[in-house]
Amino acid sequence: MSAKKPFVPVVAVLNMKGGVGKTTITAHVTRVLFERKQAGALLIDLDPQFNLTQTLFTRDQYDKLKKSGKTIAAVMEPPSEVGLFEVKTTSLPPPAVSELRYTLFHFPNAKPPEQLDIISGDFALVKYSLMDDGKQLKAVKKRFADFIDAARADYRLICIDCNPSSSFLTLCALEVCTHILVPVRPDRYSVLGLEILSEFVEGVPSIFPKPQFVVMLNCMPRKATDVMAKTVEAELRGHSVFGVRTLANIIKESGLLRAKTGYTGFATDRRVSWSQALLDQISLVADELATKLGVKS
Amino acid sequence: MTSSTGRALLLLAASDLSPADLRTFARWIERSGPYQLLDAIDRLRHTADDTQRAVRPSAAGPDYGAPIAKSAGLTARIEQLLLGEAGLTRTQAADLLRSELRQETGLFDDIPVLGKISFRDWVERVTERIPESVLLHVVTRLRNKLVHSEKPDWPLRKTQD
Repeated sequence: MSAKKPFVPVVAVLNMKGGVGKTTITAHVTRVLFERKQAGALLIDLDPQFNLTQTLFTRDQYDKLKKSGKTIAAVMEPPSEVGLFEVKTTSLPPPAVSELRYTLFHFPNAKPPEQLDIISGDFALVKYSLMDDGKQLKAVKKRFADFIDAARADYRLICIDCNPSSSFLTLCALEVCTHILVPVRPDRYSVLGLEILSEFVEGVPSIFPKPQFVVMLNCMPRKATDVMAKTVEAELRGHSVFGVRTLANIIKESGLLRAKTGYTGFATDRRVSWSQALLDQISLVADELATKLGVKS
Repeated sequence: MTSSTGRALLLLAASDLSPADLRTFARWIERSGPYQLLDAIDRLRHTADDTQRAVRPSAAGPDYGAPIAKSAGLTARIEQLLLGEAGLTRTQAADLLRSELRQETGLFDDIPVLGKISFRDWVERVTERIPESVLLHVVTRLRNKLVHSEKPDWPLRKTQD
């Protein structure tokens, strides 16, 4: 009898409202969780805007990856010369994660090896939002699902940075994920983004089993007296469904998490004022999230 | 001889390759051609980059693995919500919260009574038994019932069961 496969959470980071900090949260929370639990993790940049990739790579590094075909585009379909509105379908399986991943960090002495890897993004993915050929798109979605399924053997956590819309790519992520991490900023739009996302997940039959929601408050003001932030937090935490699913720990607003010209990498690696305080906040969030996902040290 | 060729030869001279090793190397270049050589060097550089980024102990950067105490602010936040905003006394807050938590979690004997300990110590004990997110949910629900503060003009609907 074969041994039971361990559960590997696949987390889609998503809010239907843009600008809530999805990319920043994906990068930093996954990195910190990887470090604190020494748990191998795979980051996937599924957003055609590929901001996660731009956060972690220089232009030269990315150009090399793109030239060698090591981006998410190779997961969705094999290399080909087809036009912008066509898809190259194939019955061949997707490439193995080892062929496309880029290792950001690893624990050299861990057995088995624990790595933080990334499958970098690609603007080419934008074509799927311009197409309506269901049959072709179905083949692409299956290839992505097969890739994720195979990747589960190599990692203890997979984290997908999604684009903020109800697009084909969003569906690809939602159909394979076990959890949805929803960053919410203290404004009415991102709370509505959570509600719309929840309705979408409930209403689409192909998203089954339904992933679990985990909500986190991001970019909370440092002033405890901020009326809007207090109202949003009271609404969210008191909510009959989302209340218990909202992480107790929060990320406060920080200039460190904003994209900086001339700096590529994780904000927590910068040796500047407040980086330790930021790391402490993210560590609390990562520890709480790890408990919810069942990722242990 | 160009200066770059001179540098490459200098590197080979500095290696401990024997004349036989160097002949093998020269034959490999002849057979493989310049593109395969460049490709092999590129792969080695890539591997070197990966090694350089390998996670090291904290001496190389911030200590990601340092233990962090549970949010010290949690107790203060609960005090603020129930005593500060809802205006409850410590005894009222503990009794109401205990009752709500028992309903929410179904845990009856695990939630201690306030007794003679301070409210803060009591909350600390409760957090050992109840997840922080559940505790904050129940505290906020209680606070929302008692405080008639500004309501959001686009309230969050119940969309799931």
